[in-house]
This record gives sequence, C-alpha cells and structure tokens, in this order.
Amino acid sequence: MIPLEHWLYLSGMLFTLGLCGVMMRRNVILVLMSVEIMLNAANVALVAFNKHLVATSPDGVSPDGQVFVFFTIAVAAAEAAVALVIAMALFRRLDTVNVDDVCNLRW
Amino acid sequence: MEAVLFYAFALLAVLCTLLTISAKNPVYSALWMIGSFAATAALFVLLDAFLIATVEVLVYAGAIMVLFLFVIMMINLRSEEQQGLRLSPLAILAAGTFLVLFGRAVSDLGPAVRARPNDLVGTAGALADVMFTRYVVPFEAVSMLLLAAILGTVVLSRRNAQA
Amino acid sequence: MSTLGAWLILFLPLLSAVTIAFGLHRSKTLSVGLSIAVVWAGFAIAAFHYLPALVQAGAAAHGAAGEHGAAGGHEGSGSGWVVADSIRWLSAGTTTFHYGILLDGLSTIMLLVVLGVGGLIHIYAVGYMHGDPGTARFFACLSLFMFSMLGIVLADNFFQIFIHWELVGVSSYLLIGYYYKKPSASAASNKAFLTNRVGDFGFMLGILFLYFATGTANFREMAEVVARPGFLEQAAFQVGGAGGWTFTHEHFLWVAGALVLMGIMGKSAQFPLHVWLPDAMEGPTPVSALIHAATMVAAGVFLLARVFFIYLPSETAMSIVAHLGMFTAFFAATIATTQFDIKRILAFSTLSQLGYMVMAIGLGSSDVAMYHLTTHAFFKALLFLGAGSVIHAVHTNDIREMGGLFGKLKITSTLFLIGTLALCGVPPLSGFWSKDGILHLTQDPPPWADNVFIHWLPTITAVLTSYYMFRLFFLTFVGKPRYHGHPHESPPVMWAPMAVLCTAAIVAGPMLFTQEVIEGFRTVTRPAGAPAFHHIHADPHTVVHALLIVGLGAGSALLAFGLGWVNPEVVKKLLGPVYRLFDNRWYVDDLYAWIVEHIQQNFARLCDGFDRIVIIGGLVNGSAWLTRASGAVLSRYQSGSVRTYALLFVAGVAALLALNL
Repeated sequence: MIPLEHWLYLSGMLFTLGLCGVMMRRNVILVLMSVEIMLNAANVALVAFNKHLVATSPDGVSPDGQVFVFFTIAVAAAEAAVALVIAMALFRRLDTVNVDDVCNLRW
Repeated sequence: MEAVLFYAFALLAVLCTLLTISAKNPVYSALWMIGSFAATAALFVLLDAFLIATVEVLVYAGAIMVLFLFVIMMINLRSEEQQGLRLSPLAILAAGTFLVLFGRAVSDLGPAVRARPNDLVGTAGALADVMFTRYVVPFEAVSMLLLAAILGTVVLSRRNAQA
Repeated sequence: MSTLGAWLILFLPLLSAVTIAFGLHRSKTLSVGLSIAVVWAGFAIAAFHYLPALVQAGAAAHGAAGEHGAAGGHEGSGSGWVVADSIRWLSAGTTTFHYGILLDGLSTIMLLVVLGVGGLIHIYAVGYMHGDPGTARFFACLSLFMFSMLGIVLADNFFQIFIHWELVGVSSYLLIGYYYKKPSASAASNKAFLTNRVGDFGFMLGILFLYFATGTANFREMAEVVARPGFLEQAAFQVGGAGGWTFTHEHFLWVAGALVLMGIMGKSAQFPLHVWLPDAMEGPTPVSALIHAATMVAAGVFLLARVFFIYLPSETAMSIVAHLGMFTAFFAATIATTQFDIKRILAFSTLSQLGYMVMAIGLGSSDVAMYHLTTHAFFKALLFLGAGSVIHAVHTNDIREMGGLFGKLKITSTLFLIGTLALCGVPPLSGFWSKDGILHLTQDPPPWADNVFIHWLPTITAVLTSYYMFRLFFLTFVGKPRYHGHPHESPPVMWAPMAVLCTAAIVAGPMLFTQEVIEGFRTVTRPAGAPAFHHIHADPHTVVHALLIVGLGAGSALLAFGLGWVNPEVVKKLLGPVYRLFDNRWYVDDLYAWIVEHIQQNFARLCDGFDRIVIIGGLVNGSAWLTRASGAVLSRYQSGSVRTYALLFVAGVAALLALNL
C-alpha cells in the first residue's frame, strides 16, 4: 500500500521540476514542454486522489477524477498545438526562439 | 511488490523530467520527456487507471511529443544556439520554497492521507459510464475546443504574405 | 404694545442704505432725502409712539410706589415697561439663535439720542458735504451705520448685539476711510477696525462664557438666572477633584465680565484699546460728530448699563471697571492739553468723558452714566459740528493757524462757547448736573473703589478738561488772527442743527430730566441692589466747587493763550519730559507699533515659512514628488521579460502559500 502522501510528494516534485524548467530555460519550445510537465504532474495528483479519497457508493466508485484527467489531457493537447504554432510564427518573425529576445512590451 | 514498482517508476519519472529540463539539445529534451510520460503511464497503471494510462501514452507521448519534435526540427537550431539550463539562484529559491511549502501543505492534510485506497478500476467502460451520462456536456465542449484549436492552428500558421 | 414700530425703526435705515447702494445713488438729492427721512421717521416713532407709553407707565408705577412710601431706589426700571419680540432665527441642535427687540426705558432714551442727534447731524452733513461727488455713498454709509447702531440699542440677546457690534465697526471703517484716496485715512480706518477686532475677540469669549454659565444669551433671561438665589455660589466646575478648587458662577461672572469689558474697551475706546479714536478723525466731521462722539463710542457704555447685572455681584469686576474708566479719563485729558488739531483735541476729550461714564458705572450708578451719556451727546456733537464749521471756513484743522475768528463766525463761536461751558460743567448747563453728578460719586465711593486716586484724579481731570477746552477756544476764536483767506459763516443748514443741540445742552438739566425721568430710563434687566439715583443739589457749596474747577482750568488757559501773560513755550521747557510724554500720547501707539513690528511680524514670518516649507513644500509638492519618484522606480520592473514575470509569478504563489499555511 502506497500512502497518498507519497503520491502527492511525487506530484509536487514533478510540478516543481516543471516550474524550474519554465523559469530557467531560454528556448521557448522548452518552456512549453515544461508547462506540459506541470500539467502531467497535476494529472498524477488527480488520479491519486480519485483512488484514495473517493468513497465507495452502492454503484461502485465514481471515476470522476479520471474523467477530469481525460479532459485535462485533451485540453493540454489543444493548448500545446496552438502554443507551438504561435512559437513558430514568432520564429518566422524574429528569427529567434530565445525568450529573452521577446521583450517589446517593456517600459 | 507494488511498493518496489512504485518507487522504481517514480524515480524514473523524476529522473527523466530532470533530464528533460536540463538537456542542451531540445531533441534530447523531447525524448527524455517521452520517457517521463512512459513512466507516468506506468504509475497510472499502478493506480488502476487503465484508460488514463493508455491515453497518456497515445496522446501525450504519441501525439503531443511528436508535434513538439516536428516543431523543434522545423526551427532547426544550430548547435551554437543551443543553450542549457541557466541556473538562476532566485528561481531555485522560489521553486525550492514552493516545494517546501507544498510539502507542508501535504503533511497538514490530516488523517485523510492515511486512507486505504478504494477498489476503483478505471477501465474504459467505467469511465464511459460516467462520461457520456453525467459529463456529456463537458465532453462535447472539449470537442468544440479541439475544433477551435485546429482552426487556430491553421489560421496562425499561414504565411504573412497572404494575411 | 406692538413692536412693529421698533422693527420699522430698525430696518428702515437698512432699506435706505440698500436702496442707495443699488441704484438710487445716481440721484444725489433722492439719496440724501431718503437717508434723512428714514432717520426722522424713526425719531418720530420713538418720540411720539413709544415715549408717551413709557412716560405713562412710569407715572403710574411711581404713583403706586408713592403710596407705599418708597423713598426712591426702585429696583428695575421704574415701571418695568418693556416691549419685546423675538424671532427664532437659527437652530443648531439644542442651541437656538434669536433675533429680537428689547425696548425698555434704556433702549428708549438711547433711541432718542441716536435718532435725534443723528438726524440733526444728517441735516448738517448736507451742508458740510456740499459739492463732494461721493455724497450719495456717504449717506448710504450713514444709513448703514444707523441700522447697525439701532440694532445694538434694540438687541435682545448677546449674539444679536455682537452681530451689530461688528456691523457698527464695519460702518465706522467705511466712514473713517471715506476719503479713501488719502493714505492716512485708509490707514486710520484699518487701525480702527483691527483694534476693534482685538476687543471683539474678548467680547466673543465673554459671550460664550456667559452662555455656558447661564444657558441663555437673552438679556432678560440671563438677568433672571443670575438673580436666582444660590446661583452665584453654585459650582460651575471643579478643578482637582473633591479637595480641589471650585470654580463658582461668581468667578465665572467676573471673568466673563472682564472679557466683555474687552469688547467695551474696543468700542468705547478705553485704555489700552483707545488708539484708534484720535486717528479716526480722518473721516469727515459729521462722521466724527455722530459716530465718534455721540453714538458708537457710547455703545460700550450702553452695553455696560444693559448687562450691569453681570458686574454688580462681583466687587472685583466693579473695581476693574471703575479704575479703568478713571485712568482713561485722566490719561486722555493729559494728552489733549498738547494737541494742535482741533478735532484731535475734541477726540481726546470724548475719550476722557467716556472714561467718566465707565467709571460711573464702576462706582455703581448706571443712571448717572446714562445721563452723562445723553448730555455729552448733545454738547460733544455740538462742539464737533462747530469744529466742522470752523474747518469749513478756514480750510485747516490746525488751531495754530486760527485765531480771532469770533468776529467772523459769530454764530459758530457763540454756540461753541456754550458747548465748551457745558462740557466743563458750568451751572446751570446740563453738563454741570451730569458731570458733577459723577464727581459727587467719587467723593463717597463704594468700598471697592475707596482710594486716594478715585478721590482726586477725576477732579484733577476736570481741571485739565477746562484747561484744554479753553485753550482750544482761545487759540481758535480769540486773539490775533493767524488764518489765511476769508472765512465766512456757515449756511443755515449747518448752524441750525447746532443751535438745536445747543438748546438741548442748555435745558437737559433736572428741570427736564427729573429723578423720575432718569429712573424711567432704566433698563428692565437692572439688578436688585443697584444704588439709587439722586440729582446733586445746586447748593452754594457744590456750585462754588464746580466753578472753582472750571476757573482753575480756564484761568490758566486764559493766562497762557488768551492774554499771553504766560509764555507757553517757557512752560513747555519747564515741564520737558512730562510734556513729551503727553505729546506722544504716553508712547502707547509706539509700543503697539513695536509689538506689531517685532513680535507679530516675526511670528507671521515664522508661520509663513512653516507654511511654505512644510505644508506646501513638504506635503503638497512632496507627495507629488513621492508619487513620481516611486513610479519611476517601480516602472523599471516592467521589463517585458517573460522569465522575470514567471519568476515573480512563482514567488507570489509561494508567498500566498506561506501566508495561508
């Protein structure tokens, strides 16, 4: 039996690694990948909660958490596609994928 | 037995993620990320979430990461432009603080964390039972969302000359 | 008896002033006519409508009292006759301000003086201001003044009287500064207003004290509260707990009385707030006659008589009043002996006589004070109008440039002489009865004023009065002519009012102003226990005493200025520093100038510096600077860098988590 805590620690670690990736990488594609990592970590937490905390009802255990994860994955996919196409348009315009070079909205 | 599997795949996932964010070559990052997703899928199987595990591999690793790889290839960075993880102390501090606080939050959860897992089996049938009855509206909404994403992608990827 | 007449008396002059100001001034004749008509209409109402009622009530009460064998010394107004009306004007929480009429004996006599003498001066002014382009403005200001003064006379509560007190100050300012293009005139009007303001500050505090102590501002109600048994010993508040010092109502009253006295010092020009009156002579002579001789300056004395009930219970307060008056009288008389401006001499004379009136109240007799106020109004107005006549003739105020005018200005000279004799107290003119009535009081003073000064100083002052008045007379009308040009007598419109005033000055003795009459003119708020009034008897002893005083003064003047046997220059050298002291007005004006220049101006500069540096520089400009500076600093964080934003994002989330865990 793996206690819920351990699952959550795992999720937290993955999330933090994703955060580090967002904050510390300069390639915009890598940043987007780190965002996907964060989403994935959240999915792990959701499924773990579903398994451990949802009570058994006469109809069985409701897999709401997993349905939520399903939708999350779908949304992540859509979001990744659009974000990538924006990154490509950016590359075409500025000829760089360095996040630091995109700073027109400054004081 | 289960515990060994859990710790093994957990370690694998964390390692792969770490390598993802620290690899110099973006292609390597993408590949490590696929490994990370694979490990996560295994962890989902440990939680009896079979459909999710399958979807994880099919969609995340299979579609999204392929898409990422396509884009990386298209952008075609030369080696000199590849830079690795830029260690920023502030960022590490922020992330570390976040992790510590998260840990505290988790440990504050109380007796709930010691609950026994229930006997949920996340098969396609079980999920479908719920998804097409209670959550049919979100389901349809997500399909709309995917349509919008497709359209957006098509529009945004047009060359400027035509726009 | 309806108060409609009183309301008309009060508001018709205001109507006249407003009408002239808002258009009627284009016609000089109509403005003048309206102004004069309004005053005489008021006099008619007072004299033929209210006075007979007062006399009747007085006679009835006297008849009734006579049956009880009372030998005099009635309390309150002889008859208690009063016509009163009050309008609720402004309510603020539990406080209500009223505006009303209190027409009793005291008000009536004051009305008759103000309206009568005022009316005569209005007529005189027609002749005096002839040819002056701003005549309509002059008469509008005169009407405004009449309204303000009548408001003081008819007021039934302290707040109303304060409003009119200030209004009178405004009118005085406008009239003193009538020749506004002359710098000395506008400076004088400022001085008058500011000095009055200082007095009014004390006055307001005193009113508030009284309101706090008695719970009302209405004169009659206040008199009743003060007269309640046990009120004076009642504690107002404790200082220092049960064993500490109790502040009773009696203490309250004398403090409040002293504060109100400040207002009276300002208005009636008692020392030390007298400095404005001599300078006020910059105004036209009718103004000097009306405001600064007969009426406005008498307002202080009137107020003292009205609220006598505040002072009588406290010996300290009475003593202050008496000694203040005594000193002012002496002080002013000494200065008058050295002046060469005919109007200034008369101004100091007014100061001196006002001192007599205030002293009389301080010695306990408001009756004698009001009597002297009345007779003084007659002959002082006469003297001022005469001076105006002389100035009109020789076009100068300086008596050194006059002399031997008796032949040329026969009417003016004769009338002036009679006025002088009345002022000096020569029997049987009215001045003898009123002024020697006061001197009589000083020989038998009440215990709080029983000292050598009260015994001798007023008498010495009377000698000085005769001296400077006859000095004035001799230098102006007698002797070798020193004037330029061809002086001629004034037109009838000018000497006729003077003649009427002269007649009044002659006959206003005990024949007309009998004891009953004077008692009838008492105020209805007069406290019980106030001393009775008795006319002095014209026995040989008193007459000789009076004539001796006059003779001493007049004789010295005659020797020095009339016959030239004593050289005044020699006397001046002999008296040296004393003469300089008097000539420089005891250096009081210089002291005030020094205080203003060194203390007040420096304080003002300090405040200005504080204002400019701390408030405007610091708070206003500083907050603007702070906003701009912080904006400049903070805007540097708007870097546009996504990574920085992400970092801040995470930091924010971490902070939130930290706060909530």
